[in-house]
Amino acid sequence: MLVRRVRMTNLRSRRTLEVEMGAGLTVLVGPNGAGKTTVLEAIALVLRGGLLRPGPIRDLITRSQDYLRVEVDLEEGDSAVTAGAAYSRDGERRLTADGASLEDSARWQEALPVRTFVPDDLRLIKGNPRRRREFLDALAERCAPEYRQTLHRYEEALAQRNALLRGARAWPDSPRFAPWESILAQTGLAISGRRASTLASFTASFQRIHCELTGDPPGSLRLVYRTNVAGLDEQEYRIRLAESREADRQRTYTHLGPHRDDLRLSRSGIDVRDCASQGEQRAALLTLVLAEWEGLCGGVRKPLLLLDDVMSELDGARRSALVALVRRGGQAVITTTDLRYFTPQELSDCTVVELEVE
Amino acid sequence: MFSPTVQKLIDELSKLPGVGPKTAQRLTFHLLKLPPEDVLPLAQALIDVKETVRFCSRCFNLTEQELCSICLDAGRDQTTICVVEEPGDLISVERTHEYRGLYHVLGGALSPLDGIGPEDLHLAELFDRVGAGDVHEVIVATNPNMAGEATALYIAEELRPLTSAGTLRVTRPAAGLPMGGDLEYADEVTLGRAFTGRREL
Ligand SMILES: [Zn+2]
Repeated sequence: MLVRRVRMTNLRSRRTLEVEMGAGLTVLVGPNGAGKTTVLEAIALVLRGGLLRPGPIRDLITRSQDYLRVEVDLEEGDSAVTAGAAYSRDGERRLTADGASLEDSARWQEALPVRTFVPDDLRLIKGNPRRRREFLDALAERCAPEYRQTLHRYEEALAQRNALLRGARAWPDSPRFAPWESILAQTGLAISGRRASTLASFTASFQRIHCELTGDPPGSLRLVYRTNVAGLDEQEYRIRLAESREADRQRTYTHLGPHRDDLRLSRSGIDVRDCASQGEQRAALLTLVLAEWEGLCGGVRKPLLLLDDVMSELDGARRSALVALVRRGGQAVITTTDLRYFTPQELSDCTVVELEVE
Repeated sequence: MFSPTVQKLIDELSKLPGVGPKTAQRLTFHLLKLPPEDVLPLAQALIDVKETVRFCSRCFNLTEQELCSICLDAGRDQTTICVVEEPGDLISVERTHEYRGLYHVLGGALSPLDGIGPEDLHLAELFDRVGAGDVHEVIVATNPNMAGEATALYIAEELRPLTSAGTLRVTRPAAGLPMGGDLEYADEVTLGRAFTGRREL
């Protein structure tokens, strides 16, 4: 599915704006304040039902106005459909497909997955480990559809054991712990095994893309899977859980298990959160996004890639590598303030849309 | 507000599972509009069921006597007990015609999140039955969802001394039942097949 056109009303400083998109790479160029990022926000808002960056949607509405509206014309073969979204300042939302109301944006997420890179949103790198687990889980689910169910089973058993820990009758030798711990050991090891193997196969494209984008030698940035159940078999896992009942009861929380896993990025053995510059952290984020996106490009549903102000992140020689990489996938949009980041050949192969400050 | 008599009925109805105050109110108004001959049989049925139906003192199936018809049937295999969560599950197993032993109805499944522990189920009575009688096999046919699975594991663990001694088998209907489902909704053929191919717990 392709995005053909985006129309928006009352988004940030733009009262109205319409943008025609190319089938491959579209470059949105204009000075700061021209609304380049706003176009990406509009697309993400309709197709993904959320913002590019964290924050309330009403902040997107033009100051003097009460609502915003976005329409995205989509095309798949011979058929066309218009996805719409309108948000009011008091929090009302209306999502539509050719004018007919939709519950949520699930239909678009299914038909056209959107992947984004926003340079100032480093949450995936620096934020809560939960984001990185979710990143890893989405990858894992792609190679093993039953993985999601295993994850749900694990979470349910974990909630049951935690409820037991908070209960009054949970003396540590109680036989009531054993069934939940046995399910936790079984599903916990399945999850951690799947995460490890997923990461192992993801690492190759991650490493290659990182080299292409930074010119650093292979292996200079490593993905490290951190888990506290490494090397345990099911029986040892159960024993460890049983031994930790008393300590867990005091903290009312289960400490052993893949719900505490993390995915770390390390340079020369040091976590990028502690050692790398902002630029290096953004390069790490871009690599994660692109490696995941590239895997998705091999599937049936080609994703849409939105890259905000990505060229200023890269050295001259690496910009062409990025453009070449992006062009190997599906539809993509790059925003920039300066067309000189692109070679004349690259510009002639893509759609250039110039935006002016209103 | 409503008269105390009307309010009383609304309050009583809203204690039923799945009935909120709104539904209770709607049911009450519906009942008020009906002629007496349409409402009194319902009232009588409620009284009758509470006066005559109780739980079997051995297996906790529904019965109108001290023991249920299955416990009283000497033709059934007295050495096998099939453990189910609710009386409705027992009916499902009966419908397969694959099982000719006795039953034990737990009255639910373990779920610490819902505050349900072993003492809230008829587990002690089950272990007494197995310990006292000449029981060779316990088939744990709790629902194929997590609470049912945990309950099965709990039972298997508690009976481990007997199974280790070789005097008892504890089994579970084979896979094939839809995971996360309810025994009550499994079709007869699937459930029957799961019973024939049960595995050791
Ligand atoms: Zn009985």
